[in-house]
Amino acid sequence: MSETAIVGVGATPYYFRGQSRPQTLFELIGKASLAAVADAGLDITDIDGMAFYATGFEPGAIVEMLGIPELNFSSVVSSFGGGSAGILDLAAMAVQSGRAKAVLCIGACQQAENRYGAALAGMAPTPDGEWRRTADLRGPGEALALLARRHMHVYGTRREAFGEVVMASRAYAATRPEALRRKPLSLDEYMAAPMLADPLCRLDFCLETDGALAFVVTSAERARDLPQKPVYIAASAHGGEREWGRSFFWLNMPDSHFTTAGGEHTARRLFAQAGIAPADIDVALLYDHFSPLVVMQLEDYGFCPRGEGGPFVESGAIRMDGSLPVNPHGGHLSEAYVIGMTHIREAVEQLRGTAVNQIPDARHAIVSGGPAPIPMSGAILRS
Amino acid sequence: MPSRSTTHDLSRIAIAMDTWTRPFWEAADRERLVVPRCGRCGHYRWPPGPFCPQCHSQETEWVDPGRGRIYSFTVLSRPPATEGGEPELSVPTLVRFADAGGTLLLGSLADAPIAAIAIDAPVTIGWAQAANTRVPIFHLA
Ligand SMILES: [Zn+2]
Repeated sequence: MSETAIVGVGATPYYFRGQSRPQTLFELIGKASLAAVADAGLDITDIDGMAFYATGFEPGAIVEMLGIPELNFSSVVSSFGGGSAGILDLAAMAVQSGRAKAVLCIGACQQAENRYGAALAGMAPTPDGEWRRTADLRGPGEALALLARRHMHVYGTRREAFGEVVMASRAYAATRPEALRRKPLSLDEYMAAPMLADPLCRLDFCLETDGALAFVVTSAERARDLPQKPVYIAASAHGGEREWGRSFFWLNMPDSHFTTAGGEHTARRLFAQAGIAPADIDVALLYDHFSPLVVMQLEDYGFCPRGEGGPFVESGAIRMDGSLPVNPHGGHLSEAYVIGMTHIREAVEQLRGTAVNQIPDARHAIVSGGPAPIPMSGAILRS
Repeated sequence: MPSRSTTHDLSRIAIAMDTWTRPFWEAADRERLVVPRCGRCGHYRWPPGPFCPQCHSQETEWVDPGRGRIYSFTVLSRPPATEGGEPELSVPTLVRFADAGGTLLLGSLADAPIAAIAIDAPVTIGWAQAANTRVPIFHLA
């Protein structure tokens, strides 16, 4: 199949929840989109496809707002963060099939009224989810705490491991100007933070922020004529398997999947498609809405054996000088939370060689979507 | 911090029901815990829904799931119910019913000493009143 590449990246500044006002969500999207197109050396009228993750905006309004002459492809990844990296899969499919020549991928959030942290409580009651209400589970972090505790019980994972994920993200964020939480964190400070959903403390929850990012995907052939160093989409996937289902909305995963982050299926597909192994990955951008899920994704993606994610991170493996640097931009925990889009941006910067915390000679980066209901998603990018 | 768990106020929650979940709540209202099992192949499914995912039969039997044990739980710190009161500890708990195909049922663990809550601990079923039905809650056995 013909190759595709990310040729442009655009982002607004990142804002703490509510502070992006008085800009509107569409204004943020417009700014990111125009910046991405400019970065790609293209004009907005060159865009003829659109792919995004569903968060309350529509392609029609963006076409009107930016004067895009026509769309020949328009699609949305459904669900709750699990499909965030899947926008690259949609874009690659559109370009490979000839449906569109240049696809604009968009992710954005503005959480002023609609806090994702209380997303379960904010949803209209449905008959199949009433047990969450009778149990008092109001947010994804509270529900995923059940997976984290079970992981600790089965594998002996310690809170120190979750703390290390947070501390590593802070250490990276310290040098990243865009990051919103840049103060270094000690283990004592981590352990002293109030518990919100035991075993998760406040610092295990990601930031609540506003922002928009956009990416331009086109053919590898065309990419070679554009100004930026192409970042090739070596593999992309969105989907999932029955045993993961709706994940924290379901909470009836079998033992084999309950203590995972639901990414094994995506991992198998990505590595097969790219023809490489986990050891070939130079930097991992793992969706870190909650720190324990990073530990579990490291296992899902084969960076360490099942159950050994805790000792793996506690060994220092995910730091700058470790065997697998994870989220060198500070991730959702310390940089900003824009539903996985900041992870795609960091992968592109790493592979262009322009990252703030540059991994020397980074050639392969993996990006994961959120451990959340199907579709799960991910991508392997290469320089 | 309090030393025991508290069940949040369920009295104003009106449980939404459909064709496939109503039998669960109708039994609950009579203080009977039942779970759906396929009438053709015996497969347990959760939540209650229109098809057996194994054989696609719509025949459903509602059966007593037997004894359950804690599969996982979390402890949530909730604001005090009254101004100036102590924060409350709410304990959403997943209980596994080994004799019902490993069905995992989510509910509140009521009035349990926090220090005594542990995975694999056996539980008994209790009942709380929601706006339109009684609902199952758990107690440490
Ligand atoms: Zn059946």
